Amino acid sequence: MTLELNKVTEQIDEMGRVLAERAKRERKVLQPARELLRLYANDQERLRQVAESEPGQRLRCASPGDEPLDAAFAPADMPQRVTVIAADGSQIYPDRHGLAFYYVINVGSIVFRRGSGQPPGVASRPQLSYAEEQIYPGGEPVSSDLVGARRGLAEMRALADQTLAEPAAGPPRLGLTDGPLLLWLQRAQVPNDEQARILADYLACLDRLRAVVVPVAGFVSRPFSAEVVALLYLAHLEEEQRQTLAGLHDTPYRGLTDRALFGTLGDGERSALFVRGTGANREFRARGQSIHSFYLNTGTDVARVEVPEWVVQCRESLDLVHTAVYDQCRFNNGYPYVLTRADEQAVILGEEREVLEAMIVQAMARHGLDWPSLSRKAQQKQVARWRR
Amino acid sequence: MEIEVGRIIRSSTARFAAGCQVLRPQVPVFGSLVKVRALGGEEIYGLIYDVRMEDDPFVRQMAAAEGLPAEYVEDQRRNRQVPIEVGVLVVGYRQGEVVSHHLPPQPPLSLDVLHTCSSEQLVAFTERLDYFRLVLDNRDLPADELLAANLRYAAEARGPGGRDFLLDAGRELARLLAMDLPRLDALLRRMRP
Repeated sequence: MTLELNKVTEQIDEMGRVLAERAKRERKVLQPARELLRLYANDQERLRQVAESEPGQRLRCASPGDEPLDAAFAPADMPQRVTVIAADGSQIYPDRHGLAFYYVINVGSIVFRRGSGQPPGVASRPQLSYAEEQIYPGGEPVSSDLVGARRGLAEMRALADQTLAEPAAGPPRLGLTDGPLLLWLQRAQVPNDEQARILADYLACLDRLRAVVVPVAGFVSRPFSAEVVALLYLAHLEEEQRQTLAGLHDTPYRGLTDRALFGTLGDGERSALFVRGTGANREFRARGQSIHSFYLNTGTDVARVEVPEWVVQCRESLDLVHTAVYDQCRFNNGYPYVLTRADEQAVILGEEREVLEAMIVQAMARHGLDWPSLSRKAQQKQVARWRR
Repeated sequence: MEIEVGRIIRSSTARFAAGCQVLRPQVPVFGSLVKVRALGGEEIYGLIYDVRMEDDPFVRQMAAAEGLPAEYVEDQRRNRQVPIEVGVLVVGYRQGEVVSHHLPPQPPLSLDVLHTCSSEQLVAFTERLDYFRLVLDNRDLPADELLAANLRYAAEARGPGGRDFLLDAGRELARLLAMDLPRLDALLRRMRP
């Protein structure tokens, strides 16, 4: 055992104490924050101005819609038939110490025809990337961040393809993806032209769904964001104080999340709608795909659900997202069943990776290459870790 | 009629296990005679002594959900790769036309296909009763239940001749279990159709 647990026991105890203190502090500010939510419940116009101001942008504040901020909406009646389509991905990251420099993206999907009594359709699409333009974009080795961004795009493509493949004349359709609907791009590690290409392709998928008004949503389990908390805190400050505030971390509200704020929602209820405050939403807004979100009590947890603006503008679509996502959570411990199953289709297990690599080695040898080997570093790690 | 039961996932000369995706009305059935072709060409015969669904936390959680809609049940049963495991006790093999009631020289290979035996094959295999000992000696299995179930199927396959078959089987069991009358009595009672 290399982690000598006896040497961290004191640190673990201290960690427990610090976490308990933090929880106590967050509980202390929770009630004042909820009072602010009630106080500003119908002050949407002023709060929108706060969110759009320079300090509001700096603190990534959420911007309210037209609904009262403290409203709680019960789910509409569940239609008898709904088709929920979900996609999720996993990957093998490129490893320069491995047998070959490549990566894999595997997207799992499920078409769940609620109310049909039929088994859902499940599928997975593995894609092996090894061509030079894939693994050396712009002449540099592909980064894990770029693979992550390409995975996000592959998930959205699969979701759009599968959703639009369902008959328009059939039951209402809903596309659901795991995590934020805003595409995650770790900018520093992704070349600019590649970023632009991925974002354009991703938005094109959302455009395809908008064209036929088939709602799509992102489900964020245990969200850490504090965009509504930041808005409330900023709104209650004087103008001068707002200008000097660097972030919530300097205030008593540090650590308080929107999830805690909306902990008063009842089973199945959703909060008011807000526009996501993160900077990534600017490009989405420019394309008419501004991402909105609401908080949802799934029965056992409070999650964030993200939808594009055209879903918000169509009451029927918004109600479908709310009702169908909650319905999906009812039989799966507060998390959408289709997302659990899409993940199960996508996940690449350690043993599967070993078999894949053995097949790659055989293919390389069959085509006349020397038997590939791990880097010296990886070899020596394996030698030293043989017991584990 | 022969029906595919599943594929071998684990084997030894005395017992093996097969995996199958779903339970169907006639397959797999406790006590039924099944067969699999071995590497040497011989057909290995066995009795199904156990049908087991592997534990799965996901299924366990769903089982606790109230009013579970049919789509969820169908997904778990048909799409998820959680095989039903079928335990088989080897009771003999056939090489050409010769049926032997002892263990085969080699076990079946993994992924070999396990089939049910037809009524004719069941009648042919149970023409002799030497396989009884191979079943009765397995005290870690429900051996008496297994043999009784198998004999009931074999009698049924014989139609009107089933009663005479059961009488012969009872005599053979009386000989083998002469020193254990309570066990013999319980087994004979279980053989009644």
